[in-house]
Amino acid sequence: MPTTLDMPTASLQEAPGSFELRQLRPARRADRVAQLVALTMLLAGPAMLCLHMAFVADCDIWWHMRTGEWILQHGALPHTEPFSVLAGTPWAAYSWAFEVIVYKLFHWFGLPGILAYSTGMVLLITVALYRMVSRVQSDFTVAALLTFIPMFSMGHLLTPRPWMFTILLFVFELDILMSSRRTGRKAALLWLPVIFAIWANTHIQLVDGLFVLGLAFAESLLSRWWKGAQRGVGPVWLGVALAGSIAGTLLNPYGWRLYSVAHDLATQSGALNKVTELQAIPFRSLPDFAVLLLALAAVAALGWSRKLFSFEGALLAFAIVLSFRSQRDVWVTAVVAAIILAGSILTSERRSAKVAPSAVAIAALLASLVVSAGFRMWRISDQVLQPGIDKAFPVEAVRQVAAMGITGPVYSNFNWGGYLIWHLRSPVVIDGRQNVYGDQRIDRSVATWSGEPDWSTDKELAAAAVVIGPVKSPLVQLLRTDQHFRKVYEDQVAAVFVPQR
Amino acid sequence: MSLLSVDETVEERCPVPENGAPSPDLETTTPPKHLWAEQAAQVVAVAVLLAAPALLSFRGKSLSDPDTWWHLRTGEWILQHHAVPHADTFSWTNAGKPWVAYSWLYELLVIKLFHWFGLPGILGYTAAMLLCITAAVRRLIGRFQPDFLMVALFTLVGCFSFARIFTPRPWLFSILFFVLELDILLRVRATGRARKLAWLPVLFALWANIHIQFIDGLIVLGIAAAEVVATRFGWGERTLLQPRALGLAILGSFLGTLANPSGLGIYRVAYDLASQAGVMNKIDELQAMHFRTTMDFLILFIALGAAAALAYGRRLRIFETGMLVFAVLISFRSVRDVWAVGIFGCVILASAIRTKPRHPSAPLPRFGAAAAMAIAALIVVLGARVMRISAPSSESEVASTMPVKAVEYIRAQGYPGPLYNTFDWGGYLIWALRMPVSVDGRAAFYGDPALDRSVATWSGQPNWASDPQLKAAGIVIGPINMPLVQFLRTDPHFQLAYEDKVAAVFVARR
Repeated sequence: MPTTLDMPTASLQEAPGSFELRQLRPARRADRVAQLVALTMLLAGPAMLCLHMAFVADCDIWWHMRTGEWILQHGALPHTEPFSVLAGTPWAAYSWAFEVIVYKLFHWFGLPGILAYSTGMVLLITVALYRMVSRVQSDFTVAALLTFIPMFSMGHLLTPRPWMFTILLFVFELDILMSSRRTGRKAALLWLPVIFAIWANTHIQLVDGLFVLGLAFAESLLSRWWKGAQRGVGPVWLGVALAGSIAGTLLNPYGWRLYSVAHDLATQSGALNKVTELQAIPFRSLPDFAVLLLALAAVAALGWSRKLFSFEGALLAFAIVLSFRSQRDVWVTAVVAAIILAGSILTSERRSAKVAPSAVAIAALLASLVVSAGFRMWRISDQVLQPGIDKAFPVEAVRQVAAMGITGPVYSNFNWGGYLIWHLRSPVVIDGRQNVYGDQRIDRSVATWSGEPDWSTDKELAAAAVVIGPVKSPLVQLLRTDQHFRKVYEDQVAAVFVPQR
Repeated sequence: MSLLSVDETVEERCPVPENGAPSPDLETTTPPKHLWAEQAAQVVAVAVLLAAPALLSFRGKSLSDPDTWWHLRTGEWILQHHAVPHADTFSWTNAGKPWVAYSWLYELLVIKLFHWFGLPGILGYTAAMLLCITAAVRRLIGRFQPDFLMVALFTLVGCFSFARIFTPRPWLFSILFFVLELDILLRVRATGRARKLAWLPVLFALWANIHIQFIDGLIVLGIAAAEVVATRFGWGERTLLQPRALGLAILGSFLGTLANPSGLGIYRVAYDLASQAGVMNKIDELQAMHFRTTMDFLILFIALGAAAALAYGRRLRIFETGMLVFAVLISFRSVRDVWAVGIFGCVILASAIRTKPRHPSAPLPRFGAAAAMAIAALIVVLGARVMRISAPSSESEVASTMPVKAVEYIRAQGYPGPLYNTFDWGGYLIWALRMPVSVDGRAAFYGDPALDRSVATWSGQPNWASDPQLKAAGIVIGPINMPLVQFLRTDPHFQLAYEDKVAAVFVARR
């Protein structure tokens, strides 16, 4: 039973009266309408779920917005750190385009603007993923499942972060590569430099995309000797695409320095064990196991079709290593597994007819209307979204500190630093930008907040003008009885201490 | 490479005549007079292979396992009272509450080893079990892979996949019994010789008195039964496993599990353990792999490789697929269970790879396996001597992680209880102090709320001072770097009595 990724979908251009033509007759109107409705629900589903979760209490969105605001105020990009006690050290705002977008959305729409970013990106990713999958899988049900399950598995990533751009642009890139390899049509490769130019200004994970492009290029180079290689596109075209994409990545305010930032982030092993999103998959929820089963199914599909040692095999291996190392990258396996499975699953010719490309566009439009209606239906507003922020961040504590007119270094923890940068406008000791602070600083902060024996020798704690911390943290309990600090405020979320002068 | 079906054994592919001489089907250039030399070399090689995991266990800090101690104390209690406990006597917070010592047979074994050999006896338990497990895994893999080197490689990989749990715990029995059960089932599926299934009830009777994970073994039987049912409906390939024989084996195994002091109550314990989600997130061994070491990724690629190997054959093998899915689910959920996918994955991979060696290795002689085992045991004993495994070195290892000196101080001072301690140290305190503890490693017995409370207090959460167990305590003993220790230094209700690099002791001011 042949099951290869380049198995063309059945064509209607068969001789009239042939078995194939009778089975693949154009869908009836009722079928088309049903498919359109189902497709609309599929495309809108993940975005509606994102809307329903109404999650805006992300730790990092605040310093992103502050950066966007700084860029618009100064009409330039920062080259040195402006928000922390490390002011003046070199820093690259590598997601500046995302930061400007979310700042403007917040500026126009408030907190709903942030949610609109998340839901909009989720909708785009779902559409792009479905489009990619349906190019190689003609069965609507299978294509729908291979869109829904991957989106489900990356549910915890549907947050207002620049990685949404990475997921979307990765899907675009993969779609172009797979399509070109399969059909031999090279023109689509011209979009890659454009994709990478955008990517380099929105998120640092463009390096993942370059790696995949490099893999495709390597396959084309080795195709003369490698039996499993596809020969749809020659090495010259892929080489030009790769070179053009690398050149495209240099079209960013920091030029080649962007790669230095990527290297710093990749080599910071300490952060991998402290930052929740960088830790491995905990395997405590269904989406976690969905990723695992997608990986197993994709490997089984490649084994079945005897294509383990192929571009797809190398791509899947890369995806799996990334995804299992950090739960933040589970989307890589989800997307790659989707395209592999889509190309491997052959279905009976009795199943439903292929969905027309125009139907996908119409469904996407309808889905966006459904999501917009969802904003109204759930009355998404600042008032509705604020309680989530009140639970997660020291909202009232910050108001009190601002009212007291306290300025100077703010000693807080990694998770709250971004929020304090946005609201307090005073230099913070630490925030979510791990590449700014490095492993040592992060370790020191964690040790102090955990109440380890040498907590009182933390110089930055001693030099702080104000300490704002979670009311349940060990450090807060220690400071209650410490002679060097005085508690000035406390609520159910945070406590505030100032030095005893 | 051609695929060797798991259903076909090496004996069927390469039948070995009774006298041990190589099959005439095999091309060989080895003249007969060198056969004994080659076989002797193989025996030695197998012995080294079998001894390797056991020797590795001596290098690890297996005595740091916090649960060893309450197991020892339970074994001691059983010997003293000539009965298995049905209520708790080791804690003051749950004193008298029903408690099932479901690993009583293991506890009896380790206390006897301790009485005879001291702490090195406990290390010896681990080494001996690993020796048996490696031999069983090798035997299982050897049934499906004719190449000696491949068998050695997959045996080592499969056994080292769970190196992090080379500790003196009853789960080593679970691993051994799992491999033996799998061996029996795969053999019977391939040969139809149902008599071997008669061993299963015996296996399960032992298992249910040693470790609660006999439940996993029952699930494996369930998967085999599912295959038999599915093949009746035309799904998958039929094997030579007769439904009636399997049904009897399942019934017998279930009845065998009831031959334990708690009878059917053992299933209630298993249910309680499985349903306590909070415990899963607090105990290190129950958390998922962190994917920060090469071994974690090796296990991942074993699982994926096994999936690819099964699919490569393009045949629907329900038992193997079901087993792999089960093994993957339990292994990725808890690092404690990685052995399931490590071992089963290696069996699948070994069966899928067939190489044609230029010089096919001679088969191991009849007495070869026994001789290899004996030599391996000798290597392990010699290894223990070379690595200076002794009572003093073992005690020194314990002192690096347990509050040995603090306990000596408390005993010398004669401080009265009750004791307030951490989860990790409870087992050691049960053994060394002989004083009722507030909590210990029997997580399911204490339950989520009690564990949460203990963790919150020791972590210095806001309501630490209102913990009723802390307020009632006469002695508090905890790791020196815990937040609670820092708080108690300045707390008016407690006085620091002792401190060293490992532990701090506070006594209540009365």
